Amino acid sequence: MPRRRRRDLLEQRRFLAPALIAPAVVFVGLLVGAPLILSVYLSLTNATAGSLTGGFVGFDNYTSQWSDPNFRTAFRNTIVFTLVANAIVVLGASVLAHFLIREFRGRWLMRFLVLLPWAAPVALSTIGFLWIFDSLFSVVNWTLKELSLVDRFNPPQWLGEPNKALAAITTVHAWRLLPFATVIMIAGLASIPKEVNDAAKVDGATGLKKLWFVTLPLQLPIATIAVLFGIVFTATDMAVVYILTRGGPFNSTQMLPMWAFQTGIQGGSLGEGAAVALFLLPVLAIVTVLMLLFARRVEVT
Amino acid sequence: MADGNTHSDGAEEEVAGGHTTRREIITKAAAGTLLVVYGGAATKTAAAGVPKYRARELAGTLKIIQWSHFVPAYDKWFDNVYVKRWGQANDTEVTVDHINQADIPARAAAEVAAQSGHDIFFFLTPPAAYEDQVINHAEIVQEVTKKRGKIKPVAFKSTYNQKTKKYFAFSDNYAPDPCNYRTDLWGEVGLKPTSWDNVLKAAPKLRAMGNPIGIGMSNEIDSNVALSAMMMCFGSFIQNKEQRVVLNSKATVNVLKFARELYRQGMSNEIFAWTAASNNQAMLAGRLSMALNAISITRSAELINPDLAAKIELLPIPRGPNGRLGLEHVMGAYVIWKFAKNKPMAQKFLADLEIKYIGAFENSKFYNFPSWPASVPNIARRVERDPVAKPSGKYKILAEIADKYTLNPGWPGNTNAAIDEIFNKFLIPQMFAEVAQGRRTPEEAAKIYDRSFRGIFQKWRNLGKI
Repeated sequence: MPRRRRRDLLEQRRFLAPALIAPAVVFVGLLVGAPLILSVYLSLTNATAGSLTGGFVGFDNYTSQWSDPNFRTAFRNTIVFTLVANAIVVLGASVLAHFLIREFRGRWLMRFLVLLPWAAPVALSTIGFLWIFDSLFSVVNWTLKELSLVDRFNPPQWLGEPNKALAAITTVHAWRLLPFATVIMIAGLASIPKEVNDAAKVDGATGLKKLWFVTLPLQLPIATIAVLFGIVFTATDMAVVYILTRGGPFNSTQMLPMWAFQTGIQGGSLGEGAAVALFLLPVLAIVTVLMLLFARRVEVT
Repeated sequence: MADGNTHSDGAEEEVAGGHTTRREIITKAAAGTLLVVYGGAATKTAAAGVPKYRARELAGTLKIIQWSHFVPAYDKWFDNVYVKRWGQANDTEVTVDHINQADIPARAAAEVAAQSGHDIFFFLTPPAAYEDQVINHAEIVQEVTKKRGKIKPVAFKSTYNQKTKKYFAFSDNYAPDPCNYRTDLWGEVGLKPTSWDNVLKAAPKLRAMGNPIGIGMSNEIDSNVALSAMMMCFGSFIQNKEQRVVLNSKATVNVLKFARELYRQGMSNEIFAWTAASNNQAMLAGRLSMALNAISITRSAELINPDLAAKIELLPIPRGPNGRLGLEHVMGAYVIWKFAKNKPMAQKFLADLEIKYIGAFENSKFYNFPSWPASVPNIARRVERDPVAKPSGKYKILAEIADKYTLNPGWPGNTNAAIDEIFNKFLIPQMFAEVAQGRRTPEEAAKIYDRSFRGIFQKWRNLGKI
């Protein structure tokens, strides 16, 4: 190709735009698309960690997992953790955002402190929580013992009793998602034009009335995005459960990503592990589409 | 809104600053990428660093990955003394990477998926699921057997597939799993944990003193080992010699009932939340009166609390209705991947390591017992004369435990992929914990888990591995 023509091609919008977007498309294709296709393939085979390929078994892996009580527990927990943690996050982030948007002394320090959990690597902060909830050296239990609120020899086992362990995991999820949601909510509040607030004031809308009829509707699209990210982050996270309980006590805190890992990688049943991992895909896809549609509908122009 | 027409086709539009065109940016970026990709691939030694031994390049390379040993002195000796010496003697540059024991399965899966990684990979449990990805280690076994006699049955049954007749791993060592108990506390009760009956009798008193029994029922390796051993002492087995599931038995119901009583009378619910390090920590904190573990508890105590160390004694696993049947605490199992780049040297390395195992045995402070007993002469005398032991002769019992009370996972059958999966999914601790917490009756649990295990066995049987 003559040099002049090649040069012209790069200056044309119809070539330049695809050329610029191509690396991103290739990147997503290689890192998301290819593993996804491989997972679908593996989930339909009896592949093991030691074989990589396997014979076609149709939907056997899906049906056998569906009848496994541990899978059902993991499925239920994934939904419960996600909903409860995100409900806490939305509520907490709304309160924090309304507080942090105001002018006050030390606002930047407060914002920095609120953001800190988001900046810390998940694994590191979860190890911190592991120590906080430790069976022997828990600082929570130490405090409760010092206050004579619990039995000194039989303090609560935050990670050893199913309900407490579920609560502990939900707390950690909520704690780590809260900063991100707060920042998004602050951005949402900051983007409300001053004129709208002034108009609301003129119309006599103050306090809760203003919050309900003015602030919340305007904040809803961006809050939806925060919730969407929260759902995806919680439902697909494995680190928190892996570090805190490894699914215990007696697999009562299993989540789908953790059970997929335990079945496919640790247990060696790659096909079944892939099937477990893929159970979440259609659910998350539907949730994402619905939430994006909702965000578009409530968008205020 | 931006108008597409403002970016006229063919125009030499300039980026702010006025000198660089879009075309130049793309051309330079492409050139840079090519340089990185092809430049990196072409240079074999560009980033390889300084040769390890001055004056000459070594002919071969060998890459090993293994766990960060519970006894740090072992890693120091292995990396800095043994490997260096062996590398020089065999004209091979050996690199050793260490990972946390919990990360071994994920790392192995990653190397297999990439068909690339280390030449020698170390597992802590017999990795039967990887049989198709590893060489047959029979040659190394024969080589060592020629020099050192018979392999220990626990090592043989852990690494040999009786169906495919293949050694899917090479075991260099195993760790005996003694009963660690506090002599002062048990002395007050006037008993010794020589039988499970005694343990149950002493448990309520010990717990009342603030020192419960510590046998984990959590998703971690120590719980797997301790509870499986307890099952065998009661005559409950996952499989028989022919690798058929036999869990649903009266003995299983009995051991589940016993464990439930032991939990109710003499343990606390912390055992459901334990990690692999928890029983060590609880024993070292003075909390527990008894735990089943390798000698990592006493070795740590000797370093940080010698007074406490002197109060912790070792015994074989308590006797049950079916006798004393203990399990290895960990099984050191090396594999050489089929995709390993230097198989001959990898085989030689493993054979050499085992043939002269004294260094490994001594530097692991008797944690690693040789899979070929003759590789370390006078084991009994060596452990008896441990210079650090308090009271002296404390470790003498280890030789007896290794000889008489150490069996493989899945005994009386050989360890296989189904046993591996059951262990890695922590189904044994789950079964015990459900019964202990009253979620299932022992009869229900025996039946339900028997069915679940049959499913796992059938799957691996269909794959031709059992």
